[in-house]
Amino acid sequence: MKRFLKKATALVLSAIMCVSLGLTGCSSSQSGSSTGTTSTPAASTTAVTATANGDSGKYPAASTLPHYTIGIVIHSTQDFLTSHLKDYMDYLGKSFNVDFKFQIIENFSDDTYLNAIENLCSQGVNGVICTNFSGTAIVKGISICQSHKVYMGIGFSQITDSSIRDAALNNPYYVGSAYESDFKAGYDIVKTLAAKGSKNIAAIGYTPGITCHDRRWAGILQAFKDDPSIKKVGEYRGTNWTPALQNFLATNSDMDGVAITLLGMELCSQPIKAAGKEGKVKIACVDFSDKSLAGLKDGELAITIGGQFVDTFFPFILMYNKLAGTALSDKAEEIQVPLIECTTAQQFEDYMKYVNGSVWPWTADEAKAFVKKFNPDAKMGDLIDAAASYSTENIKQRHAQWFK
Amino acid sequence: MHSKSKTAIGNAIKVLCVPLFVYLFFAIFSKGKFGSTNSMIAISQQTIAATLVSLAMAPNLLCNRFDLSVGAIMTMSSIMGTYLAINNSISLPVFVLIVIGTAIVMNSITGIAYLAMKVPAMVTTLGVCMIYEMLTNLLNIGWCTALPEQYTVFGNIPTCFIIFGVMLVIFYFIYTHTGFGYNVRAIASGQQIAKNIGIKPKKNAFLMFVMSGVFVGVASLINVSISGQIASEQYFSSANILFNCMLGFYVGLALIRYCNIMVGILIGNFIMTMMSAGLLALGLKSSLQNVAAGLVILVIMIVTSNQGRVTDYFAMKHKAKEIQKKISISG
Repeated sequence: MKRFLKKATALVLSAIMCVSLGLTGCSSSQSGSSTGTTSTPAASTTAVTATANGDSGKYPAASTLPHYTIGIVIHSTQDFLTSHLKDYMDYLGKSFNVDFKFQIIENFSDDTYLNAIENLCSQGVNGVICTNFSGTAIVKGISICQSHKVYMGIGFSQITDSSIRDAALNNPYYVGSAYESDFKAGYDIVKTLAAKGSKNIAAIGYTPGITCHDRRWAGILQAFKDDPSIKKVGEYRGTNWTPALQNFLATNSDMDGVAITLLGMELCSQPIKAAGKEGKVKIACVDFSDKSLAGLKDGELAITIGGQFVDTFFPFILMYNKLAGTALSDKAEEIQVPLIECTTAQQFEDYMKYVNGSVWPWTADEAKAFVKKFNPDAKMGDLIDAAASYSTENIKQRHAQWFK
Repeated sequence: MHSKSKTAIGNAIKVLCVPLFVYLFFAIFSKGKFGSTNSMIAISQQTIAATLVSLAMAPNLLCNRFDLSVGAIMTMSSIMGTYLAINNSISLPVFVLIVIGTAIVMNSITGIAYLAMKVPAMVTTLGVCMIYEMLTNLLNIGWCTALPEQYTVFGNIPTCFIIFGVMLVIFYFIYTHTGFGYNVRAIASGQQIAKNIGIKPKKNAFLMFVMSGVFVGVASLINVSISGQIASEQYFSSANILFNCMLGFYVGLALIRYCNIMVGILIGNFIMTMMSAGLLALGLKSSLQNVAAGLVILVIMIVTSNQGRVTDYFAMKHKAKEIQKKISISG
C-alpha cells in the first residue's frame, strides 16, 4: 500500500510539474488588464489627479487624527464593483487615518454575517459595515456590536421590517445604512428594453433573499404589470442562469430581450450567441462590468445600471462622525443613493471618466466636509442631499476644474 | 434469439417510457412551448456536462464512495483555464490541457487524500471540496467573469455532441471491456469478495479518482464553453452541480435492470434537464419552480426506489394465482 501511495504521489507531482512547465512556456504576456478587476485611479497618476485626490490642507492631515479600524463585511473585493469599492475605501482610509479590514463572506446566510461580525469585533475593530445584510439577523448583529461597544452600519441594503427598523434605528450603536434605488433599476431595465424595441422579454434574477436583488426583481415584475404590451416570456431566479436562458431562447422564438438583475453581459452574451440570436436578443442588466462598454457600443446591451461602489462611503461618514463624538443625528439614518443608468456608450464612457476614473466621486476633502469635527456646519441633510445628487452629471460639474 | 431480441425491445420501451412521459407531460401542459426541436437541442446540450459528471461519479458511487469534491473540481478547473486564458492569452490546446489537467490532478489529490486518511470518502471529499472552493477565490478572479469568445468553441453544436459521443464510447469501453471495469463491478458487488479473489481495492479506488478527473475535466470544458463564463463557488455551493448529477445517476441506477448503466445515467440526466426546462416552459413563478422540481424529483425517487417492491408484489400475486390454480386442479 505504501509503495502504491508513493507511486500515486509521484504521478500526481509529475502531472503538477508538467502543468507548471506548460504554463511557464505558454504564458505570452502579463496583460492583467481585464480579470474582472478595474484600474484604480492611481493608474493615471497625473499631477491633476494627485491634487484632486490629495489633502488640500483645509482639514487636519491623517497623521494628526486618531486611528480607527473599521471592518467591512462583503462577498468579494475582486470584481468590477467590489474592487473599486475597496480602492475607494482604502483611499478614504488613508486620509482619515482609518484601516479597513475586508471580511470576505462565502455566502449571504445570517450565520455567516453574524460570525463575520463576531470575528471583526473580537479583533478589536471600532466599527463594522455589513454589505447586503438584511432580515431579523440585523438585530442580532447590532446586539453583538453593542456588547463589544462597536458601531454598525449597513451597505447596499435597507431594513424593510418595520419592527426591526424601529429597534435598530434607535440603537445607539447602529449608525444607519445606504441603499440603492434597486426597484427603479429593475423597472427601468424592462422599460428601456421595451423602448428600444424588445417586447418579448425573459426575466432572470439572482436567488431570492438579498434585499437589493429582491427589489430589482420586484421592479422588473412591476414593469411587466404596468405595461401589458411587454410580454414576459418566462421568469427564473437562481444561479443556473445559462440553462435557464438557453431554455427561454429555445422555447420562445419571438424572444427579443432579457432583463437580468446582475452582470448581463457575462451571463447572457455567450448563450445568446450560441443560440444564433446575436443581434436579435438585447440584454438589460444591473451591475457595470468590463464588458459593458463593448455591449453598449454594438447594441447588445440596451441598458446597464450601476455605480454603487460609492455606497459604503455613506455608512462610513455616519460612523466616523459617531466615532469622533460628533454624530450628525440622534438616531440612525437610512440614505438612498441613486444608481447610474447608461443606455449609450457615451454615457458609460462619461461614467468611466468622471465617476469611475482618476478622481474619486467625493474626494477626501469633500468627504471631510461631512464630518462635524472638521466642519462644524456639517449637517445630516447635506449628506442625504449629496447622496441624492449622485450622478455622472453632478460629479462632472463638481469636479469640472480637474477635467479642464 | 427471438426471445432475446423481444426482451431487448421490451427493455428499450421500458427505459424510454419515463423520458417520454416527462416529455409529453411538459409538452401538453406548456401548450406546445416545450418540446420543439430547438428546445430539445438545448436540453440535449445541457445534458452533456451533467451526464459526464454523473459518469465521473459513477464508479465511486457504485462502490459506495460519495465524492463530494467533484463540483468544486469542475469549478476550479474552469476557473484555472479562464484565469490563464484572460491573463496569459494561452492557446486553445493549452487551455484544454489546463482545464482537463487541473481536474485530473485535483481528483488524484482527492484520491490520495482518501486513501491516506483512511476516513470515509464523504468526510474526506467534503473537506477537500471546501479547500478547493476557497482556492478558486485565491485566483483573484471576479465573482462572475466572462471567458474570451475564442475559447468557447467546444460549446458549439455539433462539436460538443461529438466530444460527448467520444466520452460515452470511452466510458462504455472502460466499464465493460477492460480489467479495470470488471474490477469496479466486482468491488461494487462486494468489496471483501473482490479482495479475496485478488483485486486490489485501493489501487482501483485511486484509478477511479483519476478516471473521474478525466470526465470531470471534459465536463468542465464543455460547461464553461457553453456558458461562456465562470463563477467562483464558496461554502459548499458547488454541491448544486453535484446533487443534480447525483439524482441523474440514481435514476440511471434504477434503470440498470433494463439497460447498461451508461445509458441509464444518460436517460436519468436527460430527464432531470427536461424537468428544469419544462418547469420554465410552464411559466411557473420562480418561487414555485423549485417546489415543483423538488416534488417531481421526490416522486421519481419514490417510484424508482420502490420499483423492486412493486414488481415483487405482482410476482407474488402471480405465484399465488398459479399455486391456487394447481391446488384447484389437483383438488
